[in-house]
Amino acid sequence: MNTKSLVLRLLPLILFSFIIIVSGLVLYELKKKPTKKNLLTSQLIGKKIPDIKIQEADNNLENNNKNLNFKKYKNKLFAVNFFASWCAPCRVEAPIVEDLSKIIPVIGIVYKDKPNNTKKFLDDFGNPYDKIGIDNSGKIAIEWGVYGVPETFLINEEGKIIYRHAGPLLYNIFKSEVLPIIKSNK
Amino acid sequence: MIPEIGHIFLILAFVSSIMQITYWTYNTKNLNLLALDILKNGVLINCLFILISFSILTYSFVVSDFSLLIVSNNSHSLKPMLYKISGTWGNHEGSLLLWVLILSSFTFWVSKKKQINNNLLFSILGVQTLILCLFLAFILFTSNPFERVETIALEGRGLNPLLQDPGLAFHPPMLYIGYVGLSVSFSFAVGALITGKINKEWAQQIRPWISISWSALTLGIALGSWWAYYELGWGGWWFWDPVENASFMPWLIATALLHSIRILEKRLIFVNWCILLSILGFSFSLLGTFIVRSGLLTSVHSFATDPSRGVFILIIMIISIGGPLILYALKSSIFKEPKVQFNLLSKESALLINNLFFTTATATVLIGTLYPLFLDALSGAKISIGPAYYNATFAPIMTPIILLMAIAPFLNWGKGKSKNLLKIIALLTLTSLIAAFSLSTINGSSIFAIICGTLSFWLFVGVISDFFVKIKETKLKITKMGSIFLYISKIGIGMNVAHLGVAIFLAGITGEQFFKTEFSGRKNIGDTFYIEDKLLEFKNFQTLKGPNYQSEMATFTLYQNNKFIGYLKPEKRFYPTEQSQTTEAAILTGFWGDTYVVLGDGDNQSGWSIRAYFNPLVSWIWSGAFFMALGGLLSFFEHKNITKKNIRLT
Repeated sequence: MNTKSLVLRLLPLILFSFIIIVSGLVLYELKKKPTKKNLLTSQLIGKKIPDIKIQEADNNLENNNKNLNFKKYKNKLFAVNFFASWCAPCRVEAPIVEDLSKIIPVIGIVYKDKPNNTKKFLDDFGNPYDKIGIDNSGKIAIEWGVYGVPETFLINEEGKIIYRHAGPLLYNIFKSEVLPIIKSNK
Repeated sequence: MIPEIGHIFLILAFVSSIMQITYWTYNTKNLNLLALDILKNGVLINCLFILISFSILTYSFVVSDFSLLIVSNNSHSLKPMLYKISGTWGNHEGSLLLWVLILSSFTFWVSKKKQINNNLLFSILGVQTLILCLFLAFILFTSNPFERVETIALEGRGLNPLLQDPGLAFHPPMLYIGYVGLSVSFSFAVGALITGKINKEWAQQIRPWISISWSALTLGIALGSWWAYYELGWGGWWFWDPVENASFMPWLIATALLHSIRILEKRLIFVNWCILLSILGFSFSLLGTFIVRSGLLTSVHSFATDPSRGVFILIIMIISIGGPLILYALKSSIFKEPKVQFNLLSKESALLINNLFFTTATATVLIGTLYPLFLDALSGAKISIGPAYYNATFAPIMTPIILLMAIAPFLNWGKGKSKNLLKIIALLTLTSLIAAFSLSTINGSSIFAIICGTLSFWLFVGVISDFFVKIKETKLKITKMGSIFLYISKIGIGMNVAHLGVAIFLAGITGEQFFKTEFSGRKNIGDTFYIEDKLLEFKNFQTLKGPNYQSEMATFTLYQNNKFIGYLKPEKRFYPTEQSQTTEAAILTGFWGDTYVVLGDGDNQSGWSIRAYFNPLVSWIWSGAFFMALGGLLSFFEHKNITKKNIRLT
């Protein structure tokens, strides 16, 4: 076989290998660079809870035409948990919210839900909430800067938000993030 | 539940493609008709499964199912329906799903072609399915569009407002048809290497696929450029941005291939060269995907910056390009070419020179695109290779191509003497000299403006004369509708239309690049200013509410020679969901040029900063591209009619 033509026929392969090797090096360099963790931080941390009236639910989870009163929790650490019966991750976090409610009071805010469904949800998974507020329009969630349900906030003695967790409150998060905050604030 | 069905069908398509590849490898040596039929059915199944999966993803976007990660990241319930649908491919994962959908549809289309030789078809379907399988793996393992979120978002984050635009809704699908269409010619080439056979029929059968993907690429690139022109508000239409180059390189290679395949079809020479170009065409499509999707770039185009995706695409490239190149090195010597002689002044040499210049141009763009990326990653040095580099390298390469383009159609094949050649060259030179002289009398024209404009004219005269010569020579009469197409294919009008497109395009460039006038300054309500002979009056300023944005809009009245021409309403839009702002340039398009106004920052006291341009002939750029694409499509139909010999002239 003619060597000259062999070199010619190998040339595309050689050039291609060159490009691949350099691209590989570039990618390797890119991978070494640390990537920033994408954390959902809330604008509200360190600020007072949003000044918006929340309708309180009665025992049948209907609107009882009373506003939810946060005064009761003055000088106390408490939690606010946004939930809905249609939200599957809320079922996942239910037992952990139950645990949380044994340490500090938890206020539940039910997001865009039907009273009957909420009632059934609380009957099935237990009712950990000290009080329940209703957010049928989604307005309260917007004021609180809620990304989605479930979402949990911790509010300190001065009525300031000190912690926010978007997504289900899983056990490891509860243990590693929520418990230390509660301890240091007690 | 519904998205999971989509996910399952995607997995099923992946599994079925693996089974087909195994079956294919097992049966390549002893092919029988049954094996081919099984593979054909497999191709249909893949296509259907992916279609179901894609429809389900589109459905999730339409109903705004925010439990899907990509829907909540790229859609919003208040978005207009068109952008909900186009949001499906306005993101990394969805666009890859569109990619495989188009790939499997093309494969299915090829499998329906009866005239392709069984051995070749078997190899083509196998190679296509292998590529499909690699991409399905890429989607499933690194970019799953059906990924759910833990927290169901109450609202989506919206689609990047810049992408909420009709021009851009169809830009990716068009480009993908182009990219993926090149995979068919790629598979033809690999098929030829596997079967070891190549003939004129092969060239005839591969050509329509090149034509159609070339046309789609042309349209896709033009749509993107048009969008950049009116949406980004920079006043330009091509920026030599790496992502633009990524789509431009396959186009250049496809252009070269489109021409060289003509020689192969006619004379059966340059076999290896055509095979190599076919492989390269799709390789550049993949390279484009790699550059855009690997996170090497940060620009408006980069949706994903995940290096692990880059690694995966690199592996896909190694398998699907490295493999064929090894095959090429090993087997390309088996193709025996007939000894054909041709003159220096012949169609063969003209097409050869065309190929030489087009591949050189591709290499120029490749270096300009990759070099800064590599340099940045390896040494941290940031350099920018901009228009200056391309004006100095790319433009000189294109000049001889244009000169040749006008003459080449008059040249004869092989040793034949070209008639009328001297006459044509004399005509072209004379008319071009007149054009150059008239251009030089225009105010503000530079030497480059004269060259560019004259080239456009040179080509225009060449194309038109060729067209009339052909009509005279064909001596056909149109009596039936069906015979119109035959007439067109006899003449080969596709080539004329495409070349005419290039002439129009060049005229557009001449106007836009060299005769543009610009105004920039602060103006308040009631002020007036001139660009060229046009008077603009700042009439009023208002704030408006759109469906998913707030807008600040200024109104200008345009007068020419004291006559009212129209209103221009540049806007600045603010999208609260996406927390971002877009500039909507106001453009009054005319045959001879566009008046283009962009609104900047400002207030009632100090006025608003205004940029205004008059861009002569700018719309010719896209009209030219449209003609090129049309030409490509016409030559696709030419082929159809040549193969259907049953239509007779009456």
